[in-house]
Amino acid sequence: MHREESLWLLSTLPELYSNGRLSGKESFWIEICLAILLNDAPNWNDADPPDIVLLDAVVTLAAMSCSPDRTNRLGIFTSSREHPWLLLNVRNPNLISGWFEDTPSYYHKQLISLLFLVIHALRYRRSYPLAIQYFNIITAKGDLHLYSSALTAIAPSMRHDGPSTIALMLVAPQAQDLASTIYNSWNHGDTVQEELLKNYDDRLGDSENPDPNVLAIVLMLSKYLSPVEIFSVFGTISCNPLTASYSQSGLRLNTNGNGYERPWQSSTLVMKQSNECTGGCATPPPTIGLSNRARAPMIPASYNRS
Amino acid sequence: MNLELKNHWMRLVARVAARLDIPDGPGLPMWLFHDHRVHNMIAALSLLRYTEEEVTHYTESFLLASFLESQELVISSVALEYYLKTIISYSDLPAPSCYLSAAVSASFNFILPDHQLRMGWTLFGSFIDGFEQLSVEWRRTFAEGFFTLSRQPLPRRRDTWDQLHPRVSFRGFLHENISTKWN
Repeated sequence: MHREESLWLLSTLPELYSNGRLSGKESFWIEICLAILLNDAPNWNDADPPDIVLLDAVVTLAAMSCSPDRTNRLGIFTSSREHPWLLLNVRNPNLISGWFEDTPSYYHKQLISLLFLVIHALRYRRSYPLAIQYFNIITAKGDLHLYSSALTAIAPSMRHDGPSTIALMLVAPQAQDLASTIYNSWNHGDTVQEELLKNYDDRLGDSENPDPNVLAIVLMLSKYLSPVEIFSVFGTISCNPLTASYSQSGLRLNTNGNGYERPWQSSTLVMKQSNECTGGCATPPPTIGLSNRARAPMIPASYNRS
Repeated sequence: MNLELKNHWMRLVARVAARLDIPDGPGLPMWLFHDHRVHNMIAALSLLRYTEEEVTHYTESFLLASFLESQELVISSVALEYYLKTIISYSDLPAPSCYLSAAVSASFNFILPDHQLRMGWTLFGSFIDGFEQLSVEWRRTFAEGFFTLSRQPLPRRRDTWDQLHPRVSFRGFLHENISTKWN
């Protein structure tokens, strides 16, 4: 579906819904909104950021469908129609705060998936404070499993920086400023996996079973790294330099001899820079300067564009 | 950079993500993650090193054995092939995995289409190659799986044999199940 067709549909449905000519459960409307954003999301990039009018229309329809009170629905519809240029609905994250109280819990995953897409879109538009407000409202209950599940449900339709940024926000330490997390997400590049692993490991402790969705995201992100990039991300493991040696490519670590490095046994898995590997490295690892590969320039002027 | 991980699952995932080997050791669990999807992803990424011929020194019999129980035939059959090769390379053979017989049986199940049955012949080749090194227990367990369901004549070898090698199917599996869903 083209963007114009999506916009037409999104502008028509609220009208029919507000005057009672269309009805349906919340999930029906949320599914329409999800389908439209999922269809559009793969095209979002720096040069072609998401259409803010489309986002406003999506939030308007979703908000109306989640509002049990007819007066509220009309209010949401009116704010969208009377002053469309003000984008009153998408710019009002408080609109969604009541969604989770007013809808049955089995819709929540769908709703959160939709709102994660909105956050993903706002990030592309450099509307970081607004994205963070949405994020804080969505994740107020702290149910990581629900959030990660909602994220993996939509991840296949997003560019890989989408799930990685939202996952980083989900597992960020309490004290960490989310603004910096989302702002720096353009600079994470290949180190996103490392941050995800580290932050989530800190959260988990040594015995708790991790959430499978978070692991799925970490594993999938590794698919986008070439062996050279993997090396630059993880360095090498040199817990036991006596038994570690590089393969001929210099990129993969093998073990040999009698002593195995056992990741499950060692108290910590230490990954170090190649220059710290001594003794066991038969072939010095190549010097790889990829750390700046994905450092996209930030444009402060476009900050909070929407 | 230093990455110190306390949780053993996180350490496992870190190694898999970093395409590092996970050699045998007493601390290595014989089972994998409870989530079927994550289990398959760990298996796919680990086995990819084998199908891309990056692994020259076989040390991961425990890990490969844990993939034998996968519900994905392409995973269990590729794991089985390299599990056999790994075991054959050991001087001191461990006991066969409790999933060995089932994995062999699945690979030679007569209800499979011809091209998948042909993949079984590669496994059989590995078994024959290492027959002398294998213990009686190993031979018996393999035979149990082989004869249980393999009651239909196996397909004849064709010119397309190489194209139907497990690693080709495995790449296809990865592509279909992972690549196209994450862009």
